[in-house]
Amino acid sequence: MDDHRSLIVLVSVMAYMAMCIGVGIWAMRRTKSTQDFFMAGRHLGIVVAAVAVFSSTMSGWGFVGGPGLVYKMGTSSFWMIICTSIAMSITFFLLGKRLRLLAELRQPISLPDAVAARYGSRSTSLLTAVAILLGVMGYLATQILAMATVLRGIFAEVSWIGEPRLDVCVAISSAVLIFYCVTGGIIASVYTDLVQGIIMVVAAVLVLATAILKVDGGLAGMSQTILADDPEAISPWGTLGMIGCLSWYFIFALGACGQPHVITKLMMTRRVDDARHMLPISVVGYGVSALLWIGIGLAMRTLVLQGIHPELTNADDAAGEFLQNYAHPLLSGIVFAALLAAIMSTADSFLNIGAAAVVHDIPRALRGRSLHNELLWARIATVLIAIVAAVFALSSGDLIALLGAFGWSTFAAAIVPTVAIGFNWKRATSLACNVAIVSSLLMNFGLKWFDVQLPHGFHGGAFSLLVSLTLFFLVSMLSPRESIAADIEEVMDL
Amino acid sequence: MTESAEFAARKPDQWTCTLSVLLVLLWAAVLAVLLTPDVPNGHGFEHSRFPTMDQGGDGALRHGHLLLGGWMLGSVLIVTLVSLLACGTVRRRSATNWRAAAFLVGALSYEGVFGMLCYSYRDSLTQPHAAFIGPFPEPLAWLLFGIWLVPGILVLLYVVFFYYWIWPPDNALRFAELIARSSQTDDSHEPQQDVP
Repeated sequence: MDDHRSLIVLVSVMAYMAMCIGVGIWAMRRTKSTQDFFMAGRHLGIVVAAVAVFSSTMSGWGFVGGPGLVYKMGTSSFWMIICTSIAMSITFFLLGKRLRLLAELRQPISLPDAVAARYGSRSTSLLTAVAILLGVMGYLATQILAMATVLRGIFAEVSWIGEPRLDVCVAISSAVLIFYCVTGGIIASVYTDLVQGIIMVVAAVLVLATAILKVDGGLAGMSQTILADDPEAISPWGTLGMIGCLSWYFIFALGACGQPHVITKLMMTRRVDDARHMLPISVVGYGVSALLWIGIGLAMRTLVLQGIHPELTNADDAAGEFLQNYAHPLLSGIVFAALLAAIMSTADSFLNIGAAAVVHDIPRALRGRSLHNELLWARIATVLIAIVAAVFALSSGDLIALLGAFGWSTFAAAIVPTVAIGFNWKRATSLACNVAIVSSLLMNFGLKWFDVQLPHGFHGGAFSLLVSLTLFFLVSMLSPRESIAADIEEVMDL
Repeated sequence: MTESAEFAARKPDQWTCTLSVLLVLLWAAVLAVLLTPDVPNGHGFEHSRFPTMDQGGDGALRHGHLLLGGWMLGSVLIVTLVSLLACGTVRRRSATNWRAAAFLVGALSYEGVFGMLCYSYRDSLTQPHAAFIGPFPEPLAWLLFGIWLVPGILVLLYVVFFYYWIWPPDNALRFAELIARSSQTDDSHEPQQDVP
């Protein structure tokens, strides 16, 4: 990158970070209780909540790993994107109303709190919190590492700064994240998500337009080039194949309603009716921001195949290489800010639900009551979790990738039965939830640890989700029917 | 008792029936494909010129024997997803036929598009020149313009029928009464220790 371009990128990223700090300071004055810190006082407007839902779903991995997957595997990863329209529909149909009603009735401040209200079981609440905490640590560590890697790349391009050490970049990026999450809790998180979501949408549209302009023949030119080289790479299944793609479709479509950092936001809106407008906004927002994934991925595969761009040393460099070599400096600045935005919008949600698990859910499940001065402890826990995740990110090598990769599948297999099904199906029992959660943890970790490959590239997480759903159903049917609190039962009838 | 509550009380096991049927269908479809023999390099291998890329190779060789099983698996997944959506709506006698018809139309559209995707892909394996829809080869166009956009029908159903199928006014009234009752009784609602 020339100095002019790298300076614009640096200024854009610094401006974005300054905005995050500003939102943190603004949100601090609105955060007076744990309800505010974890649930935004249930006062979120429609647009803020809807954008927070889609920007939390699209993590930094989507902006970096997504184009890398298209470069490497052709169109296979399109199934992860196209499933979001049905995935978000399922989330809203099954949980949009149900979680919001429960939030007003019992005023939970976390998902395990809602689980405790539904099943009247401390062990189910505890296991849900443990599953969330394990997934959060892995996800958060990967997000922090991604933030630091992006930041180091940006600094390295500025001649008068040079390439800083990775731990310095971890410290800088974590400090910004911690600041606004500690001061403003979920309020700062969702309002930064709003800005982050808008940046992501704008950046995605501009990047797709740039990709179309930079490749001879636009999208049709890309298709022709890839088709001539390997027709399967531009078929609906990409290089992965039909069964692998369909298993991705299953785990990403159904698993979405088990992602705690996303569904928790359904409890934060002002009115039940808000869900009606949130669904289309979230679907469209995610769909537009995913254009970056498609645009850069197809363009880089085409440019390399045409010999215009040298082969990438690593597929994950696709987004960075495209921005450095083909995008206008100002667009590069916006997209790098969008990249940090995508990472941070997911990380801040994880930090918040992780803190809730540590200071609220686990003590409540074990001791039967909350901590005194929970707000103070929530802020302390937020700092500690971020520090532990940052140290974890720097020190544990492959284990982070392992935990990060197993995050989505574990959340899906553990929380889809317990929450998405169990909050609608009265026959579900706490024992069935416990079995589903434990089996999801064991299966997902086991499949990754032993590197088990299923035939036809079938996704291990999809298989694990099917197993946990089956165990959940069978144990529910075989165990004695449990009584449900009268008010909860009435909510389940609505 | 309101109409929706009365109807729900008389047919309480919609979820049980739906889940049992869906799980049987899912296991049948998944086992059918998993037990089909895998071919070498069937899910991608290193590109001959660019090692950081993968390539798919011969589509007929790796998918010819899997197309039927894959189509069945995809169709079952669509049935599963749409059925779960339908279960997430409020059941009321007066609206059941309309509701069922609307979800049936949504599911059939979705299945139709997926069927066209599989059909056009199968055709593309034997035809030397690919047909295009817009800038993409036909099978990929069915994925991007079909599978991605068709669930928009279901989003539309949610928005249009929200006050009929999701949050009817009588449910809102019942909930307001529940909240009023709940604020009068000062329960702590602490979760119980598990009873053995």
